[in-house]
Amino acid sequence: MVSQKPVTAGDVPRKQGTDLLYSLIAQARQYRDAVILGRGDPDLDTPAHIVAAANASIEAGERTSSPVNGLPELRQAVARRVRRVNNITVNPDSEVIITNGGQEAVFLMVQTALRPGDEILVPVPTYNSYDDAIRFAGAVKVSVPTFVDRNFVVEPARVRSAITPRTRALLMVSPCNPTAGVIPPKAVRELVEIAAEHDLLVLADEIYDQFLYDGAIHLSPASLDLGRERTITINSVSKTYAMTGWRVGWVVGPEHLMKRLSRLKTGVSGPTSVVAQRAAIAALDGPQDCVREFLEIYKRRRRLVLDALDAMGFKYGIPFGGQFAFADISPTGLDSLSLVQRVLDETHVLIYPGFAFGQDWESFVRVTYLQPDEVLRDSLERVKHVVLSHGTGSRS
Amino acid sequence: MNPTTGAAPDQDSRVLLAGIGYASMPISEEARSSALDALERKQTHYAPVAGIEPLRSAVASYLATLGLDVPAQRVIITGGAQEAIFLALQGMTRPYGDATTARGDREARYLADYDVVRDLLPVAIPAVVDPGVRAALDVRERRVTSMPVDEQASLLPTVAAIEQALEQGSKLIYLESPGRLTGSIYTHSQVRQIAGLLQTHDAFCVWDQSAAPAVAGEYKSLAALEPERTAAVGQLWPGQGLETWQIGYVVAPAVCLESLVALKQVLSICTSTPAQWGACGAAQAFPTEHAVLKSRLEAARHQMLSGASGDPRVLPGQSVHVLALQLGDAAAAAHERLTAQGIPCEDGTAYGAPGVLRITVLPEREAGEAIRDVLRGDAPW
Repeated sequence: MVSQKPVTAGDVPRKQGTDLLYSLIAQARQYRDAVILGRGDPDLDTPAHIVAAANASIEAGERTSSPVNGLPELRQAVARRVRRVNNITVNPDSEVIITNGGQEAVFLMVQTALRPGDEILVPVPTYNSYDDAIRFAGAVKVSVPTFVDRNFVVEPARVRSAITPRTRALLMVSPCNPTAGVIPPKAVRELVEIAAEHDLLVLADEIYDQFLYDGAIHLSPASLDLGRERTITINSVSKTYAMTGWRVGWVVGPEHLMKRLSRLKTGVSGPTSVVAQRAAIAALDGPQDCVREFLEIYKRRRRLVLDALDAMGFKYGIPFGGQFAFADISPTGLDSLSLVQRVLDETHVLIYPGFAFGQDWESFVRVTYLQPDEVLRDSLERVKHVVLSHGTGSRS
Repeated sequence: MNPTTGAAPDQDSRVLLAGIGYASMPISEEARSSALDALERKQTHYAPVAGIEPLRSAVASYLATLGLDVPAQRVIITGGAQEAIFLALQGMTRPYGDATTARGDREARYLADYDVVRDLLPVAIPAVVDPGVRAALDVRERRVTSMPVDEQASLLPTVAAIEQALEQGSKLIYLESPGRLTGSIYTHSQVRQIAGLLQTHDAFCVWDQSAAPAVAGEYKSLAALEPERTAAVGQLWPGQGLETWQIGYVVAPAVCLESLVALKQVLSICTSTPAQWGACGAAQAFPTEHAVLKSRLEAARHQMLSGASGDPRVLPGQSVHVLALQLGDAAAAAHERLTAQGIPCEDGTAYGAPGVLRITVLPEREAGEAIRDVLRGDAPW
C-alpha cells in the first residue's frame, strides 16, 4: 500500500449526491492501490468486434454527418433491439433518438416530461442524477419509499397514494440503481394502469435490463398496450457491453414526445459522436455471446458480494438485477459516510455511501461487483476486516 | 396536460444546427493514430468529467495562440461546440447541485436560483445568432433579450447595443466573434470596450470563438482581456475533419468552474473517451495543417470576391471560411442556384437574418463565377 494519505475524513466537506461521489472518487484516486467498488464502470473490456467497428471507421477517416437524432443505421439497430429484448415496437425514423450515453438520455427524458412545478413520483432510493435533472427542470420530486425487507420493490399502492393534481410523471428504474431491485411484472402492469388512470407519463430506465438473476423477469412498461403512448424508455450500451467511455445511449417513445426530445437534444448537444455510434451498431447488431458471458461473470461476483455482506451481518434487498447490492449497515452503528470513509482510509477500498442517494439512506452502502474476481474477493475481505475488527457487524 | 396528445409545448423539432460551417480536410494521420492507439490501450471507460488531461493541456496551448493564458484546469472538454454553448449558457445562469451554498457572495448573486434567473436576469443574445444558441436557451424557461445588430455591416451587436442590454439588467450576454453567419469579428478596440462594460456592470459573457482560427489578421478574444468574466467556447479542431467526432471546449471563469463541471457530469458524465484521444492527436497536426487550409481558403474567398469589390451586398467579414451576401428577396433563388452547383450555402433566416445568404468557402471549389452571377442578378432563375 502507498503511504501517502493527503486527505482524510475531516477534509471532506458534507457534500451530497453526485458531488459527494466524485469527491470520494477523487480521494480514492490518491491511493495507487485504490479499488473502487462503488462506481458503475465495468472492469471488463469492450468486446473486440465492437472495437473493430470503431477502428474501421477511424482508419477510413469517416466523416459521415449524423442527424441530431442519430445515424439511421443505429436507430434501426435500436428499434430491432427493443423489439427483441423489450417487446417494444417503435418506428426508427420518428421514435428513436441516440444520446450521449444513458446519462444524457436521463437528462433529456426528464426535461421532455416535466415543466416547472410539475411533480414526478420517484421510488427511492434512486440514481442521484435524477435529482439533478429534476431540479434542472424546476420540477418537484415526490419520493415513494421502498424497503429493504421487501427487496426494494415499488409498491403500486404507495404510488397511488402519492398522486396529486400536479403529478405529471412516474419514474420506474428497473432493475434499480442503487438497490438492484426489479419491479415484478404484476407490479409493472398495475403501475402502468395507475399511470393511465391518472394520465401520467411513465419514465422507464432500463439500463440494467440485461442483468437479471435468480429467475427475475423484467417487463418493459412500453410493451404494454396502456403504456405504449405514455412511456419514454431509456437505455444504453454502456453497462451491457462494457462501453461506458464511448457515450452512446438511446431514448425510445411515442413520436409526439420524441419530437420535443429531439428539439431538446438539438439545444443540449447536437449529434452524438459518429465513431461511437459505429461501435454501438456493432454492439447491438453483432454477436451477443459477450452479454451472456458478462452475465455469468456477474452472477459469480454477485455471489461473492452477497456472501461477504452475509458475513458482515448486513441486510440487503435481494439484488435481482444490476451490478451491485445495496446493504443496510445499521449493525455497525455508523452512518454510511463514516463507514465508507473508515473503509477507504484503512483499506483504500471505496464503496458508495447510501447518503449520496438521499438523506434517508444514511445506514446503507452500495457495493458494485465491477472488479476482477480476485480483486473483488480481496477487497471484500479487507472491508470485512474493518467492519468486524471495529466491533461492528456480526459474524455469521 | 395530456401526455398522450403531445401536451408539451413544442416548436419545430427539425431545427438544424448550422455547426460552424467550416470547410474540412481529411482526418489527419495523427488523429487517427491517436484514437486507434487509445483503443489498443483499452481507453474505453469513463474519462474524467472535465476531460482527459492531455487534451485539456492541448486546448490550453491552443488558446495561448489566441492570447488566452489559462491553465489546463480551467478547460472543460465537451461533446461538441453545441454542448459547450449549452453548458456555458445554462451553467452560468443557474447554480448546480447543492454546492451553491458553499460559494462566494458574488457568485451567489449572479448564479442565482431559478426564479431569479427567470424574472430578473435576462440573458442577452444577438438578434442575429446561430440557431443553436436559441435552442440551448429554449431547454429551460428563461427571459431572453435580443441585442440589435449593425445591419449595414457585421450583423454583430454594436458596443452600444451591448451596453444597452447591460443597462437594462442583463448579467449574462452571449457574443460570437467571428459571427457564425458572417465571419465578422470585434476589433481589438471593441473587445476592450466590451471588457470595460462587463466590469462596469459586473456582468459575464459567453464568447463563441469557434471559428477564430479562420480570421485573417489580428484576432482578440474577450477571454484574453476578461478571463474571470468570460466563458470562451469553441470546437476542436476547426477544419481537421473531426466535426462528427463532436469535441468542443469551454474555458470557464474560476468562479463558475465547479458548477460547469457539475453540470457537465449531469449532462453526459464525460465526453467520448476515444474521441478525446483522437482530438489529442489532431492537436499535434493542427498548427501546420490548418495553416495550409487557411491559406487555401483565403485564396478561394479572394477568387469568389473578384469582381465584387465595393458591392454593398457583400457583408464584411474577416474570416476566410465564410462569405455572407445581403440579397434580400433574391436570397432564396440564389440559395437554390448555388446549392444546385454544389456550393454549400445557408439561408440566414434561421439565424434571424432573412435575405442573407451564408456561403461556406471551400478550398477546392472555384465559385467566383457563380457568385458574380448572383450579384449581377441576371442569372436565368
